[in-house]
Formats: sequence, C-alpha cells, structure tokens
Amino acid sequence: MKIMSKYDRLFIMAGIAILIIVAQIVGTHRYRGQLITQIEKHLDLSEMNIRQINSNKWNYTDVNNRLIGSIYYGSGKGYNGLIHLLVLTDELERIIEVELIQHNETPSYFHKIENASFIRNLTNEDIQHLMETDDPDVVSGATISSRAILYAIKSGYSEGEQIRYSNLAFPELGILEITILFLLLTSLVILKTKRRRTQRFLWWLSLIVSFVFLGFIFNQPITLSRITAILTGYFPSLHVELYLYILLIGSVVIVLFTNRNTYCHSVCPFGAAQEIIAVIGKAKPYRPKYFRYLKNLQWSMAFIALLLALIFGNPSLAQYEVFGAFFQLTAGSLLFIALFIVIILSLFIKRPWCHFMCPVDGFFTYLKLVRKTIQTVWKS
Amino acid sequence: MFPNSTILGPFFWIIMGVLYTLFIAGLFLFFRDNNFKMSVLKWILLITWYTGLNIVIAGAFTLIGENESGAGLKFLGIFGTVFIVLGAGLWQFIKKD
Repeated sequence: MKIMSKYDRLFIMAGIAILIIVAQIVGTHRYRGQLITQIEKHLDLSEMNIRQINSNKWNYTDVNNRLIGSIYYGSGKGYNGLIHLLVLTDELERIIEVELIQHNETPSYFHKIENASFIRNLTNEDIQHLMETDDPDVVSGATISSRAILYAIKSGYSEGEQIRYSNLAFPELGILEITILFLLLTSLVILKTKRRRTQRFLWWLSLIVSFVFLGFIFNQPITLSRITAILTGYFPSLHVELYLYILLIGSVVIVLFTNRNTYCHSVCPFGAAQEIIAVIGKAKPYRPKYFRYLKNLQWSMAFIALLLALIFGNPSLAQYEVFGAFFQLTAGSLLFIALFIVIILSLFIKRPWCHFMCPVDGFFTYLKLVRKTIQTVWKS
Repeated sequence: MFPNSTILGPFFWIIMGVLYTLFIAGLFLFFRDNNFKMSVLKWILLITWYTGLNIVIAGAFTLIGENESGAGLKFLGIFGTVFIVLGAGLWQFIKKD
C-alpha cells in the first residue's frame, strides 16, 4: 500500500479545509439574502397600515389608524440552526398566527411538530402568559425544535417590546451528560488497559450503556448535520445542549491526543447496535481487496454532503445517517430501506455501516490526518 | 378473503395447510439429514419464532388490505426485521450441538 508523504497529507488537509471555508462563505451569503427576502415576503411592507417599530416589531393598523395588532420577528436555537419566525398578535396580545419563515430542522423530526399541531395550538395563547411559562409542553422526540420555537416567540416579543428576557440558566449535568462522561472515560480506560478481559468487559459495558442511553433513551449520537451546523457558525445553546459539547469536544480531544477514534469504537450507539446484531448472527470482519476504494467513497460522500449542506446553508441536508430510523423510527423511506440493508448486512459483516457508509468516520479520519500532519511538520 | 366465491376460501386454506405440513415435515427431514441435534427447547423456540413470523406477515397484510398501507409496511418493516435478526440468532443456536 502506498504511504502518503507529508506533502500529500498537507495538500489534502489544506484542500479540504479551503473547500469547507469557501462553501461556508458561499452559504453564509446565500443564507443572509434568503432570510431578508423571506421576512419581506411575509410582511408586505408596501402596505400603508404596517409600520415598523424596531427591527423585531411591526404594528398594523386599520384605515382609521387604530392599532389592530403587532407582528414580532424572533429566532431560537434549533437542532441544526436558528429557527426564524413571525408572530402575529391582536391588540390584546393574543397570538393569532405563528409563521415559520426559515428553519434547518431535519424534515422527519419537524413533521412530529406539525403532526402534534404544536404551532397551531399556540393560537389564542396570551403572549404575556407564554413569557411567564417556564416549562411548557414540548413535542416528544422533537424537544429541541419545539423549545426553539417557543424561545423564538419569546425572544421576538421581548426584543420587540424591549423588555428583558433571558432563559439562560447555568448548564446542568443531567443523566445524559453523566452518561457521556462515563462513556468517554471508559473509552480512555479501554485504551490504557492492557488486560484483554478487562478491556473486553469495559467495551461491552460501554456499548450497552451507549445503546440504551445514548441511543434509545436520548437518541443523541454525533451526526454530520451537527458538525455541519457548527461549521456554519451555529453553536447550540450551552445550557440546553451541554451534552453535545461534552461529546464532541471529548471525542475530538481523545482523537487529537491519542490518535484513536474511541467514539466509533465504544461510544457510538449505532456501532453498539451493529455489534449486538453481529453477535446474534456471528458476523465476521470483511476486508475486500478494494476496501481502500470503498473507504475513499465513504469519505467522499461525507465530504460532498458536508459541502452541499454548507453551500445551501442547511445542515439537515448532510443528515443521511440511519440513527434516527433505528432508535426513534423517525426518518424518510430511503433511510428506512438503508437501515434494513444495514441490519441484514450486520448479521454477516461486522459493522458495515461504520466501515462503509458512516460520514462521522470521515470526520474523525480527517482529525487524525490533521494530527499526523501537525506532528510531521513539528518534528521536521 | 374471496367475497364472491364460496369455494375459493376453503380451497385457499386447504392449500395453506398442505404447504405448512410440507414445510414442517421438510424441517424434520432437513434436520435429520444434516445431523442437527434438535432438543425440545430448540423445537419450542423454532415453532414460537415461526408462529411469530407468520403473525407479523398476516398482521401486516391485513393492515394493507384494510387500506392502511403505511401502517402495514411499518409493521412489516419493524417486526419483520426484528424476526429476521431473531431468526439468525435462532439459527446459530440450532446449529450448536
């Protein structure tokens, strides 16, 4: 096998980084333009009875110049980016309509919000009352998105009325955060332990904990869309998604310091699922002659998905993982078909998704490349 | 199943009965010819699995027949996959002496 020279590595690393930055710049410009156009499209500003009060509030009046109601523009941090919306209220500050103007949420998850009539149920709600409600009912399985919608309404109203509002509480360590810390620490112990039996025991313990908690209970594995969202400059709120920071930073730091991708090995819940299926079917490792080409194809697919998502400013475009389909039965038909194929293959081949399809593997491989390049340059 | 015929319904179930009998008789022969050691537990598990699989298929197609194609396909997809995985596990268990 041909070994890459340090210049090859440097060239690939820089090339990927440059392409990502270019796509990011293109996407940011498109995105900004789109948002302004969409707000203007929703509010016909040429109409005489709509008057802008500030950047978040418009008042609308009847022909006698009597105030009928207000429109507020707000945004909240969703799963893949900001959710932008307009809230129409009457003169008594009751919500008449909530109109989403832009969001990047994964369609299959957003359908849950639509199916639960979450937005429609906000109609007639007193906006003042909503401001005082700390923990309203959110849609199960789409918690982050539904909370983001509520936050967008509240922030739009508070900024429009120029009143102080903040739901920023101190981040708390919950079961999910503790589970992730446990998984990351266990993965480090597995690396350092020399006894094979202990290693194996800890690995299985880690896989089962991840399968149950990170998979079925919380469904929060690392996905390409989350990485893409961060690359677009969208940082999820720390107090809502502390676990994501722990998981991402922890996994990245471990790769950079140890050159081992412990996330895929012992933390990923779908990796755990494949291992469990492999035990049932007594699957064997599969390394064909063209394994290297298949790996390149896998990484290229991840890279193309990432670039497209960055160019279109929509991280959900990069989400082609089958995790949601497996753990929450939430995905499009194509992903369900892919999941079925992966499950059947997992009975015969060890970790087919991880080895041949998963985009997250590409992310960690890139980190390893960065590490290696920096190390080589430093030494020389 | 066949609302416009009095003979096709019973005829269908006779054929199904024949096929099932042939299948189970075939299983006996298959295990004997391949020297599988079948214990009572293995037979119980095999029959349970096979009955479950039949219920899944019947349930799914009943739903599809009742114009609930989405539900039927989801039912078949989810439980069908679970039964395939369980079947693979059961096969490993049956192969063991």
